[in-house]
Amino acid sequence: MELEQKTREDALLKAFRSGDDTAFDGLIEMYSAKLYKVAYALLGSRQDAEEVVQDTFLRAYRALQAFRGESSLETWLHRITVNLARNKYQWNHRRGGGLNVSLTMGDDADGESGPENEQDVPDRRMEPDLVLEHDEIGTNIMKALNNLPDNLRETMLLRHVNDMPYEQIAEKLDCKVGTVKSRLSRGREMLRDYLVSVGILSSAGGIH
Amino acid sequence: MNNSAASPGCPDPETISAFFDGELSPDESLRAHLDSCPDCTGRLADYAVLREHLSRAAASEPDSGMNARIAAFVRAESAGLAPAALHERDFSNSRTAWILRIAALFLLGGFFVYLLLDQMHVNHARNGGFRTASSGVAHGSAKPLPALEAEPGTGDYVRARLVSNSPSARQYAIDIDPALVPDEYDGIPGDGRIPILLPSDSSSAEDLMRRIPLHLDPAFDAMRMLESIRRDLTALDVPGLSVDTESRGNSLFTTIRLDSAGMFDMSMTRTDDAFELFLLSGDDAKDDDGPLVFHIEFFCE
Repeated sequence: MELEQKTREDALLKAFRSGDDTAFDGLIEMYSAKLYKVAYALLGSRQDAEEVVQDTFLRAYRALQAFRGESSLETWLHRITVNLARNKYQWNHRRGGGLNVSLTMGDDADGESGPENEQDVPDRRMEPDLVLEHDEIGTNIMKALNNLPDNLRETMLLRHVNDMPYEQIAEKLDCKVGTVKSRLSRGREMLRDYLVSVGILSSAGGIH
Repeated sequence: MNNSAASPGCPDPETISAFFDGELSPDESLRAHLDSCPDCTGRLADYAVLREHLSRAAASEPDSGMNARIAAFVRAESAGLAPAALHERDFSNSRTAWILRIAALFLLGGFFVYLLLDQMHVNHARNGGFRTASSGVAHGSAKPLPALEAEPGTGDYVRARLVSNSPSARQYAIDIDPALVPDEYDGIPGDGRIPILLPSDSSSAEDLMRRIPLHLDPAFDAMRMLESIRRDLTALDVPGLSVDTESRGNSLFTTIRLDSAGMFDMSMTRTDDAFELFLLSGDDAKDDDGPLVFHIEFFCE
């Protein structure tokens, strides 16, 4: 499966680099759904997730010649998506643009002032049905996930959102399986500590 | 409260985490412990809560029209760029790519020159005296750097402008509203990075023309960061590269010169360590334009 994906990816990349613009559509088809899930996990909004995936592919389209192939294309795209989603999360957060953020983050929801910062705040972000989680747990998990160190967040997302086994994550991230194991443990413990600190989880384990 | 430590006699969290993922070989004694230990059972239950919520995202599916919308968006946004030229050259290790990376470092460094100077200006006002700042980031210049006289809340902006002599290169400008710097702080404890946030659609040069709020961690040590940037630049050791900083009136100019040139466009995205610049060739990209010179200018309007 992996080999088949790699073969197809190589062929599409080669075609695109030689000027076949339609080959890029094949790359979109291969990876858009996976990237969407990752963005959705970090943003909780379908519209925002799609925008992030759009931006990811725009960067890829413009910069594929800068792609050195040291990691897989999927890993490269994944990294861009995670970075963009995190930036967008924080941007929304500071603009007080997300219902999930503004209602539950209390003193953190200090939307900035200034006319330019108030523009382009889509009303759609206030539509509850576009938010992944309305409950306190989901909102706090999203916040904690966005605040994890990059390598832990990336590993957590590959494991839980893209459902990859350790060995495959290690291959994607070009690290050892032991590193994946350690990162997942640290990521879980950091999320767990945070959820205990905000009173979502009991220190004895389980939801309050 | 830190709940990460395992209780005495319990397996460490890493083992429990791997067990939770089904990545451990069957081990009856471990299983027996996990089944009977309240602490470990609680930890596994918490992991299950995390997995359940993250798996909701995994179950989400984009609607069927997303791929077509992405393809149309990408083509529309890239209409001014010739596809063939996008694919022809690998700039990733070119000196031009390096200079852009360096320019980005300087641009960031410049922000902190400003912040440092601004802070010193505030200190000066508080102390009722006047001091002129100098910074370790300047190469080839022993001149004192100017205090930039932007007043928070007055609508003044400090502008960082990146100008190149390459005829096809665009000019980049980023305005920093001093009023936003302290007030918009929302640092992420332990993050350890410079949290400058760009709008999500900030990949293009046009977007970089927008005003960008600068977010500053209060524990951030400006001088340490300047020193770090200076070290990074020195470590690059790029042949033909010269960097010079001088002050003129109320402005600070940094000039980066490289004995190579190319026409380019660029976009940037954030990586683990910094902003990553993607270098894009233009239609008429070439390397024989003579020395490439960047000026990075910090001034007040």
